[in-house]
Amino acid sequence: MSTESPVPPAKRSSPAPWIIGVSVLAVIAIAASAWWFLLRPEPHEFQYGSYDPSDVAPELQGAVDQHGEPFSFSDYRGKVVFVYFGYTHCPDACPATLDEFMEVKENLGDDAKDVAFVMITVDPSRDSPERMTEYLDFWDPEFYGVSMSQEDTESVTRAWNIYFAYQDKNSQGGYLVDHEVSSFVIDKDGSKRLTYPLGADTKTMASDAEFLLNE
Amino acid sequence: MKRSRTLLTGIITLAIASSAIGGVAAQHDHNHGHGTPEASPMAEHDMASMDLSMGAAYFTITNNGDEADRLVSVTTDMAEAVEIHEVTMDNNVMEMSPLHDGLEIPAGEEVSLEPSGYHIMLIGITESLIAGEEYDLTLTFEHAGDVTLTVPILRTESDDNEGTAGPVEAGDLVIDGIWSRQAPKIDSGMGDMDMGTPVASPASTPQS
Repeated sequence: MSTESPVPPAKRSSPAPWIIGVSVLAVIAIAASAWWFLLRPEPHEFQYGSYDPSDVAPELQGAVDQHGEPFSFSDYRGKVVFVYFGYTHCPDACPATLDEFMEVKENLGDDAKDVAFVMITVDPSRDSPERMTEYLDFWDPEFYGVSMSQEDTESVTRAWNIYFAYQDKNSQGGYLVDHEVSSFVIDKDGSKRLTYPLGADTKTMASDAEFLLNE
Repeated sequence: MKRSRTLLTGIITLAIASSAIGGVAAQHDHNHGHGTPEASPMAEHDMASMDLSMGAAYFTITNNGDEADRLVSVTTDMAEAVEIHEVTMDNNVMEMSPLHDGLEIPAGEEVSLEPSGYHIMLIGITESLIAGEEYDLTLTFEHAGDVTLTVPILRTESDDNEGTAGPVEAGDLVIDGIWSRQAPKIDSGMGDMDMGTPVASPASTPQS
């Protein structure tokens, strides 16, 4: 108000331009809002489960990949990481998921170089790195097969809210492992962002990964 | 937009809550301890399973007859043993169980063996199941007797049964949509270990 006092009376008597200015701004604001809410191009929508971007993906503990090299998610900042918890004696869900990962990688084309695919074993007693090497080589040697000690496997899966349980059901294949069959995606900042049920559409998974790469 | 975000948050909260319950269950259900060889899940009879590689076969069986039949056993040269497994899914957790009494095929009904459902589990495959190849699988039914299927190996499940084999008739039964998923035979692993000594698994390595 005090800044208005020196303004000459002549100008004060004709506030019309000021009102017009405000009106124009208001109209622009309304139009922009309308465009924003109604007409703007649809943002990328995640069709499966998504998490709050601040939900940091729990880190692995003492993990090695199938070649015995230390493996941690923090080494993959700037990349998008697909994560699956499985085991090599699994006849159905795990091969199906790795088949899906293969399709996602194919759908990604050149972007695949910035995407890592990781299977973490929930059965470290039977899944040695050597066994993981052979298992993953069958699908794609560039996939990672990660194992931890039994204790670390339990601790990390708890942090991820991943359920698994060993069941002796008198199968000739040894004990069976009940396990979570969803897969997860970690974004470039290390946040747990997406989850997919088994059987999710692999083109959608690839386009989600591309979106996260371009964020 | 705000509403859908609220809805999404609700769904996520539910998902996290339910998986947290699963996590708690995991702690209680694990029938082993923490990292000690004695408490590892490796029972002695499971030692034999160390080196095994698994495969799975799928098909549908339609029973056009007036009485129920039962798939009692399955054999193949491609595996050391074969079991019929049931899979149940609960909140994205998959649980497999062998059907020790076989699989009933009710009269007039179709029973599907499919991913995340019933499957034929090949235990100890003798060679890798390579997409494009095929192998023989013999089903033994209580009434319809034996029928041998030629099972094509596919890379992945197709939407329209493309690449699957069948139909094959066996008495009143018709078996169709026959396929097997590709799978590797793993040669390395623990096989080179001295089986007489305690299991040198990641579980038994010293804990920090």
